[in-house]
Amino acid sequence: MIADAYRLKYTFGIDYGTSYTKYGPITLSEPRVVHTRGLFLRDLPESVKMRIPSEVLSRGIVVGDEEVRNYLSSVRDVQRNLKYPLRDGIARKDDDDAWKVLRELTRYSLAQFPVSDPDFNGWLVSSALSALAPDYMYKALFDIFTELAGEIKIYAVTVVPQPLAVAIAENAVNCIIIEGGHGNIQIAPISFALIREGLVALNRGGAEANAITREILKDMGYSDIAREEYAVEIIKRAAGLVPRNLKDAIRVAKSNPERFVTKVKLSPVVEVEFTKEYAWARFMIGEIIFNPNHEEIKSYIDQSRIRIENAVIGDITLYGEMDLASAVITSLRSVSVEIQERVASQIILSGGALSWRVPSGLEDVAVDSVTKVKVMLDERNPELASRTGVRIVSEPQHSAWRGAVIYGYALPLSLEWSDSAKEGWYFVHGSRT
Amino acid sequence: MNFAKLLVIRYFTETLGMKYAGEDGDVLWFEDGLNKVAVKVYLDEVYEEAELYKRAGALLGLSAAKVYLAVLPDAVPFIDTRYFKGQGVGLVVVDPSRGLEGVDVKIFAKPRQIHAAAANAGRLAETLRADLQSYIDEQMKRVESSLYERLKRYVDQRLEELRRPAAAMPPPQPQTASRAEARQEAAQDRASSIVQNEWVRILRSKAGVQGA
Repeated sequence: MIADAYRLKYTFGIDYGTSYTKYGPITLSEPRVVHTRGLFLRDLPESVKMRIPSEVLSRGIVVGDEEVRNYLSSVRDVQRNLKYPLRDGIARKDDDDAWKVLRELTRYSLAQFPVSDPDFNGWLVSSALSALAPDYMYKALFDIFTELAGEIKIYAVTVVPQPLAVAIAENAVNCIIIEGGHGNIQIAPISFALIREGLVALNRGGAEANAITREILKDMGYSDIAREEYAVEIIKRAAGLVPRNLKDAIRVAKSNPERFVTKVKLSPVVEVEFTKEYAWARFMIGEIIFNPNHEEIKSYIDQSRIRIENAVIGDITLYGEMDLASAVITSLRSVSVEIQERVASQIILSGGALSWRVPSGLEDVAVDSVTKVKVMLDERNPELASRTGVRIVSEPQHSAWRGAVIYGYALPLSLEWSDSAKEGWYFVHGSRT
Repeated sequence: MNFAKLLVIRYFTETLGMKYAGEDGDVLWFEDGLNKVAVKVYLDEVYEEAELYKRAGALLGLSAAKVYLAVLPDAVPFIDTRYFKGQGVGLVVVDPSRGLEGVDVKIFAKPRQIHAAAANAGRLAETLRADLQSYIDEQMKRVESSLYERLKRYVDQRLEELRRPAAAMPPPQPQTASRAEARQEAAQDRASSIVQNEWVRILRSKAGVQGA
């Protein structure tokens, strides 16, 4: 019999994000964070092999930020051997290397919290996965935990979709979660559970903002810097702006460009300047996430290698060009009419792609994500907008992990995993003890 | 307070997320954002059809954006849903024996236009002024508290810097104890915030559903 007091100690949350994995037991105030990646120890010179511990060498893979850095220079072909297993939160079924990395990351996460308590019967692991994750990912994840149960005590495992985990962390029972990730944006209606029929996904996110930043940099004469993803990310964060209205913002920026000129210092010797000629382009960086359907953005897309198009993952279509307000309305239409108003009462934004700041002095034309969503909804459907509250989560990086541990604490152990409902506990030793 | 009435208040505040604004006779007032919602509770042992419609009619005279009538399950046979839907009056049925789960909104109220004509320009201006004043007060409080936080952080930081040289010496026993206590308190706070999460109640109730 597992008591609540036990669950308040030994529930373990793992949030598998595309860029970072957040993990740790329920007792932590913040999770530990590690890059979602692994380094395969292939093509090693014999001299290097000799100084690597034999158990690491036998596994052939290392994870963990510090550990990867230790061996990075030893591996000859970094491009081929440094593996990021998730793309848009999904690992391909036949990508064996990806699953090896995920297994090692899971082992690494749990192994950092050894327990000596004689009453410890094993962890109750609650994992957060993308809402788009296909069925095979659930099964493969359970296989990983079953395999690991031989060396780490695991009592049971469950999986919670990331948007639901965010809603739980925010203590919101009826809401729409908009999760803006690097590769895609998910709009998920919640009413006491995730309403899967209402799930709408957009095939754009932080990566498209990076792509348009790259094109602008090339036009401004910074082609060398545009090649470095790290630099592009910093420039996007520092210079990108979300316009209240793109046309108005561009008009103001072109008539009074001095206000929008900015410099981004990348290092003591490298600085990028958005001159008067290109100051207006800062607004396109933010706008592409919310709505790419503008002539100004389209002309950039046509000239560049950016592709904004529909994609399909499992049975879900990820829309390329649908604007965010339309996506919210499309999602809401799939919700029962009786509860639509309740669900639409609050929209909660989460994720790095929706985290934008407004530099002081530009408040007349630039807005944050919350205001942008309100403005877009008001343009599309004023009645809906007047009844909807929009807010952003307090801890964008940790909320899915926090929701996962609360879910793990609360989900009754009498509920066994059901493939159809995608809910319940998977007992790693077959049946409950 | 009547238990059924308490359940109505809990449902409207906790589940529907409205703010309880008080009661006036048998009418409970809630605030849903800027809109006022009135819920008239009619919780009798014996229901009279005429009285039921009289009370529903009385609701229409209230200046609320939405109006609801809350009744016990015994009143349901007398309810003509077409009348309620036509008038835009919401219907809440409360079954106290099932606790909070016994509260069910059978008909959602339609948003109504409040008769603003009665309000003269002077009153409108006064309301506007009062709202503006409260908004400014709120903003002032926010600025004050953020200033206070910053100041507190600054003072704490300076104090910490002053303390640092002393840290080279072995820490006195009571301080270690107080730190351990603080850690324990933080852990307890975390645990209680988890236990009080609304989702915990919802997820736990699934055990009952599965068992049924």
